[in-house]
Amino acid sequence: MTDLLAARSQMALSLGFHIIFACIGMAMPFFMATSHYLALKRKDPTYKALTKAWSKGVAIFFATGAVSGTALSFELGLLWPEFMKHAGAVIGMPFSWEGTAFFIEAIALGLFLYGWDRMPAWAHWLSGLVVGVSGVASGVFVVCANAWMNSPAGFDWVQGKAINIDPFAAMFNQAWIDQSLHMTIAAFEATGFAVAGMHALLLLKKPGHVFHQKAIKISLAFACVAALIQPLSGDLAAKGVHQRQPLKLAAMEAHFETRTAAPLLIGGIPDMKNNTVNYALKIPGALSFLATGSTSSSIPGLKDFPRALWPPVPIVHFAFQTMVGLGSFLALVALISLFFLFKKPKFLYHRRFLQLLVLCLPLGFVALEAGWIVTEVGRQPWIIYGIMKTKDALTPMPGLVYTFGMFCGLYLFLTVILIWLVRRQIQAVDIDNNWSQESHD
Amino acid sequence: MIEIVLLFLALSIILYLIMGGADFGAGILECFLNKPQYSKERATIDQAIAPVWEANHMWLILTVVILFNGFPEAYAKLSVMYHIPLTLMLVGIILRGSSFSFRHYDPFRNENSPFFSRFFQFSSLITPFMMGTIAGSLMNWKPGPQGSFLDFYVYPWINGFALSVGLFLITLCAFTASIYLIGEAPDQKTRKTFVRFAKISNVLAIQAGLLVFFMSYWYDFDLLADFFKSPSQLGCVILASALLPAMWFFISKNQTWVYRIIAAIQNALIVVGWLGLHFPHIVLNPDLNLHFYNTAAPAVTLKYLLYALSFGMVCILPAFVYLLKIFKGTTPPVTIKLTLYSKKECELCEPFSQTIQKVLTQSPWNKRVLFSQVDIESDAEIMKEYKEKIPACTINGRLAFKYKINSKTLIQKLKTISQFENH
Repeated sequence: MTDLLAARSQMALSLGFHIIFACIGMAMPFFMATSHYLALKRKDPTYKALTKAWSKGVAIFFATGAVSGTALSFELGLLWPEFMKHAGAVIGMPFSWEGTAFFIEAIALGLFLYGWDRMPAWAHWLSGLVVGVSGVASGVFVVCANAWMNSPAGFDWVQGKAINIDPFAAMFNQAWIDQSLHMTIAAFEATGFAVAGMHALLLLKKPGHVFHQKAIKISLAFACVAALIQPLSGDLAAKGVHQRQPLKLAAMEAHFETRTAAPLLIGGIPDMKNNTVNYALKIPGALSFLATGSTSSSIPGLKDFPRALWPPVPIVHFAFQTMVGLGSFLALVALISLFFLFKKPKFLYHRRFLQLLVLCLPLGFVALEAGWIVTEVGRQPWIIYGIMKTKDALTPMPGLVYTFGMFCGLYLFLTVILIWLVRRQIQAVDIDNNWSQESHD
Repeated sequence: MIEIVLLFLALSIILYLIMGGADFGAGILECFLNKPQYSKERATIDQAIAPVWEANHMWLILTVVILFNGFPEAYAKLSVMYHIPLTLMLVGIILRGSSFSFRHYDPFRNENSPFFSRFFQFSSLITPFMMGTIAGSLMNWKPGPQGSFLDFYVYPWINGFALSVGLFLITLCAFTASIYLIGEAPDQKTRKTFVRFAKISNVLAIQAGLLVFFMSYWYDFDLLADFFKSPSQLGCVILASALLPAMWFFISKNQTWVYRIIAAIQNALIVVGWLGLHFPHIVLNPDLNLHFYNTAAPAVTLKYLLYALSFGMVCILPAFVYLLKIFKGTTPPVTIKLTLYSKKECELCEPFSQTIQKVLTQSPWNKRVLFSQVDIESDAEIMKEYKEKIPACTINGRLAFKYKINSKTLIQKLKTISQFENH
């Protein structure tokens, strides 16, 4: 393994690991605050127990997110010092805002988790909401920085140096709205389906349990809304990519030849030798329509660009197909769920439907990771699009494969323990619930 | 402008040491507790850190952000030079944070889980050690002569001087933690343990500090002389030492916040002395010529960084003070009332009462349960109601146990009540 590949793998691993916890940290506090609101308004002990159970989940995942995020802020320099040397001054601003938001999130979380008997009830509720708001804010700030890597702005690149820096223009670059919207909605969608799936699994074991039914209602409501608006934000993002990074769009669709009325591919395996795609279902004109709003417009193909600048087409294409496929499937599940919720409430807790929710448990996060691969791998070989190549940003430190191996072991270890711990928490919630039901009898 | 950014940088480093350092210190102290099962000291440590450690940790993030936004070139260079120790430090940070919260949220064992405790203790030890080593190496960065991998990436920080600074930071963190923990102790016995820890770590910190000066002499770079050259830094060191007797005086007088603040000031003085020695150089090596002025970002970047920092402080500091006030201020309000009904000369009453007492000495019930004992013979009304029921106990006025009690069910009832009774 070359140092470049090791560094890229380590970065991909660290980001891929962190993104899960960051997204849970963005979305789950809102589920928690909703349940807490109902607990306070209706004086319902089940909602209160649910709030507490969820808050423990938030605490565990937030801690993991906080430390893996700290690791990332160092890894940016440890692996890509050349990048940080130039980018730090240009795009550091959203990170300084992110630091503030993250800080407030940590304080609010401390207040929420341990403030149960010590704070006025509504101030306590508010602290839970602040966790969510600052979580989303810090997510948006970080995505702004990533958007800048895709759509650099706010500086002039003269002889290998950034001059005339404008941090505001850099932060609010052309891609920031598309990307942060898509990412935030994805966080709610993935977390919502994961939480709903988890409670569906438990409800299958204990049919009729009110605790889990209420949990499903809240999390599924968030997930459904997110899943239904996500295709719209995805469309916005795709149009933006077409304008700013036509090569990335071509790689996403494995679109080799420039042509008018370009077809949209569903599935398909790119053949990189002959520059064709096999076994794909083609929808004529659909790619042109999605990218520009007209079925007849011309979409530049990969062949228009020097081969050295192509991202790894098969990876980007597969990841994009996975994201779109799963996103569409989840949108369908969302439609069914909403129909049940409003028209046929008794089907909401039907065995078959619960099994469907269990199936959806990991899908949101798979789609989210796939989407992240599309945007990151699709930008290669650039680290700052059109300005700096990834290989030029690499640290001179040799033997990066060892640190990559170490981080693999570390994150694998943490994942195993997290799964074990969540199971243990669920057991504990069960014990508490049983006892409270007995005591209410 | 740079100077104001540097003030913020110094402030975050100081606050990180005062707060985050103490959290590491608590983990270091745990290494020396050596009690296999339930231990009140560990419970105290767990309760003291849990609500605040994440917020405390954020000062490090702030430090890094200031460095890479305000001084990107320095950040990039340091990241290359200290790749290995920084990576080891990161592993420590990741393991410390996750093992602590995993342990805290292990619903059955909590802070008594030996598996998570081992990781927590080890990582609390290794992280400040690596931080101190890096700090030490910044003072005396000397690559080997050949320019090989070891010469550039390893020897500058694996040497007696840098490692002795790492050792010093460990003792300093442990010292600060034990001083803070004295005030958190739920009873006299636990308090005594932490006072003993404070004494030992105080002595060790002084010894490690002397070792640092000795090592600097050994490595041909006379730290002591450097300190004597500049009166303000010498003043910091002298003042930090002179405050020690005052601190011990207030510990004996039980003035919790006074001695805590003195300990924090001592930490701050040490950082100020250290940074003063550096300023404006980041690495004390004239060949490297790496200082704050030649690595600073353009003025416009610094301006926006300052806006963000000022705005951030306006938001963060009040919230942070509120957090401390809620958790480190007065003892929490009592939420559960437990009343024991008994009378003299009653066979069942003795073990019944003992079981309750035993549960109530454990955390968190020792702080949250208001216990009272009623002799039913003292009041005719009570006598009438409880005559046939003793020994009995009520929780928040509701009859919870009569005749028999076992600690497991009692704990479970207390847990559920603290979860379901409204506040």
